[in-house]
Amino acid sequence: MTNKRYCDEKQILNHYLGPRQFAFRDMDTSTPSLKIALATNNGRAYVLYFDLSTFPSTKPQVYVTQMLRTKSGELMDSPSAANHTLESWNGWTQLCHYSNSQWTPDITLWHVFLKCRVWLEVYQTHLRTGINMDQILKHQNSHV
Amino acid sequence: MGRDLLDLNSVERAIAETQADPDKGDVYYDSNSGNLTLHGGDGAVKTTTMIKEGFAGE
Repeated sequence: MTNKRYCDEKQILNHYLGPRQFAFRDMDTSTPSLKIALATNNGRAYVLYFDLSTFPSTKPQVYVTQMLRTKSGELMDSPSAANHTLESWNGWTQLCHYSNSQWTPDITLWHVFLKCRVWLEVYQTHLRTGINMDQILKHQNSHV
Repeated sequence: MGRDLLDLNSVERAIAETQADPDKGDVYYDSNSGNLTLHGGDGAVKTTTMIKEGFAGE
């Protein structure tokens, strides 16, 4: 990521998020990342980890920094169309947001965050109702 | 959603605590008070700490 892009992304996040709600890390290395704390509408708090090693050329891989489970107790640790998850890493559930075919380098981290926020709201609904994630959240075919 | 008192470091510490001891429940954030709380399976609030002071746990 260029320094200008980094500054632009940081400025956008600063506009919408609290000053201590997010942090970029290791930006001068081959494994740059971003962490954002958030709370869903029912108050559940999570941290999202964005792997920025190939951003913005390719979409960032985004993980919840814990292993989530479905309402029936199954680990959300593998690619699943029903759960809208991808391969886990570091014991963390990876969320499906933009597809590779939808991705363009001008999509901002804020947009990706919004997709993941929607994912987590749908997850709360799944936990409450038991309704399949895919029945609630259709595959994301358009930008937020 | 958006600008509030959520503190990344405090949330990370709270989540780490619940991961180490699942009996402590899940981490919740009260946007009105700025408190982080741990809710057990019975819905009871187990811990409350002011987020400005960091998450201390029990």
